[in-house]
Amino acid sequence: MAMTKTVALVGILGLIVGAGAMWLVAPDGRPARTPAMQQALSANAGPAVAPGQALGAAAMRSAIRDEVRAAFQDQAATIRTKQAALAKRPAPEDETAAATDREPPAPTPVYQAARAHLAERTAQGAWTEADRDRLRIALGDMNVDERQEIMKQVIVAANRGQIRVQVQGPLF
Amino acid sequence: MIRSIAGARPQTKLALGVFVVALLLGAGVTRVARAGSVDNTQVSIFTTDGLDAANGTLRAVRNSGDGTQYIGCSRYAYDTGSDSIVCYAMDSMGAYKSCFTGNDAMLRVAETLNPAAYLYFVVNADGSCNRVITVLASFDM
Repeated sequence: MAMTKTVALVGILGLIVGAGAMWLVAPDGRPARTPAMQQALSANAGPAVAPGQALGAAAMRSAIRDEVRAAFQDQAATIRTKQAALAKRPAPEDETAAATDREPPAPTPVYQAARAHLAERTAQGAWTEADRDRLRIALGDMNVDERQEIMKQVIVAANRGQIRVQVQGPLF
Repeated sequence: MIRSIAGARPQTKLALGVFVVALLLGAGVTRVARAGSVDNTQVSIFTTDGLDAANGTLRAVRNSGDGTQYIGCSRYAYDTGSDSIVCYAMDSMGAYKSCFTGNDAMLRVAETLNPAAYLYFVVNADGSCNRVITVLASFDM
């Protein structure tokens, strides 16, 4: 029984080693190489390199040089392509000019009233449930930017202790 | 007392024995049911890296005896397009911190809040939320 197991293990090991060797060696019996290495071998090493023989130091250096050079050439080509694409884009000057010319919208009356109310409450140093309810209603009539702005202003006033919070939960 | 039990009838002794066993079993079950780590974090307001922060476990805060502290987040959405949360906390001394954010990731974190959650948030100087963290774990229940 033990002998059978040993035989099976040896067989599996043999299969693995054999498959690994086949993976490492090219179909013609020589070690697997990149095309550049292959070219370098044929150019520099000459016919003296026998099939399956290790690469000579000079041939290896030459192959590495070729590989690195090719990689740099590819990268340079990619950068050139990207630069060309960027150059074709319309200049953003028009957009900038339009944004500069566009004036911010006038604040809504409800936002102005909310700011005035916050200033008044800050001077008095308290924020009550009545203030919360009042601002909660006003928030619905503001635009998005105004709403965020007044929310932050009230929060900052509370966080700094400028208004004593007399509500349970949110300030609006 | 011992003499009276010793002199009791066999049925009484049996009933007494069953009662004692049931009592012990009940106590044991209760003890097992309440076993495990428990987080009783009350609302705490502090600074971290120079920023205001607050934390607390909702269940523990709700069951606290002071009647002042609370912690939580509120969600705001309007048909004009803004969707945001405001998180806030007040400790037992009445100190208050709050923050505001429309950040999608923090909104999703706030959505995980439930009555057994732990909440931690950090506030930027402009009132926006620097981070919102929730923990849902057995020790928070």
